[in-house]
Amino acid sequence: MIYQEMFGYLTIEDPRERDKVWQSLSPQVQDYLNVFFNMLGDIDNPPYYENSKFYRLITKEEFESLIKVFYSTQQSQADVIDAAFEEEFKQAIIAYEKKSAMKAKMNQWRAEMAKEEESTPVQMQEPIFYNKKRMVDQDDIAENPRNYIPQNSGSSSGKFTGGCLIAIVAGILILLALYWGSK
Amino acid sequence: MPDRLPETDNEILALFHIDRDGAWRIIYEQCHANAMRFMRSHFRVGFDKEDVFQEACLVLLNRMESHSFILTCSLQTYLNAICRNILLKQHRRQPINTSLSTEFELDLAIEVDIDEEEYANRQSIFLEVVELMRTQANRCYEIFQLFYFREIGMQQIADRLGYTSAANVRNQKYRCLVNARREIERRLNLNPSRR
Repeated sequence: MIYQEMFGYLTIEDPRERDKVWQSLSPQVQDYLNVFFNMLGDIDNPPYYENSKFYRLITKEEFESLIKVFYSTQQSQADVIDAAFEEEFKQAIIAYEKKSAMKAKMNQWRAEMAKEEESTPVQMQEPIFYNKKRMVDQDDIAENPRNYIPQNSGSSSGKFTGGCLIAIVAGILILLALYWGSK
Repeated sequence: MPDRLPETDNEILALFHIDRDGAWRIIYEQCHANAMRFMRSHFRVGFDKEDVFQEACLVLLNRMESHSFILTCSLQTYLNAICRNILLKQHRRQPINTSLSTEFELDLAIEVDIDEEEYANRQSIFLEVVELMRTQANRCYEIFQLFYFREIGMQQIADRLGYTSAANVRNQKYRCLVNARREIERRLNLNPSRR
């Protein structure tokens, strides 16, 4: 019985939890635990089962198991979590949970919006308008090559040269006609 | 919900005090497309823009809950400004390979600051660590969720998660808290300004 209570107490890693449990232990168990801690704290005299107050109270295996659990939990007790940190962390968990729930809601709305967009019927006029527009666009494209005469292309400069020759010849003919007319 | 859906921002704000979720949904649906376009116009690639928009909605909701909240511009402009600030903060933290237009930094004359206390503060580091724990294989997140959020007792948690005793759950919770604190302190030391 004493062993079990001592063992249960020693397995608690959280120092604040230990303090709480300590209050609930019987004075007898508290005394034994104090003896146990003093014994382990005495560096000059290592704990020997046969010399200790636990001789015949608990078995040797139980005694060794208490020592083992004491050292294993002592490691984690080096990090003391204070109540302020735990409260802050608790608030963070609550905030995170609430935020996750809110985001889940928004994701659901988003999915519903996407579904609505998919199911919205397409208006009959729309493709006609689109086609008309497209036809107009296509006409523009088709007409453009006809109407568009590149300014510096070879064909345009050739026409320009021919026109000049005709004008020069016509000019010469007019001058000759005027000359012969004046005679 | 009223018969007619509110159209103006003031009507939405008025509805918010009666039907929080209803108003929130209207804001979400009305502002979603514009805000997404706004963000895409500045950051074509990178960042989870839907997530940014949702974060912005949460910031807006948080502010709307305050009685001192005064809307000095349209809800859309306000949300876009919050989106911009969140994107800028994310971009500064994890720069993506893109040219950022100066107008994105300077446009929107309206002053909507997400100050350090609100976004990049100590609490955000706590939330980051919680998120990290959620993705880890250990059962820390489950224990914290059940114990702190759902307020379930240790024995019930032990039964639910398959621990042999409540004491084991207590120890596990303690170890998880120690790990969480170490990670939080490490991140705070990396970013002293976020303390």
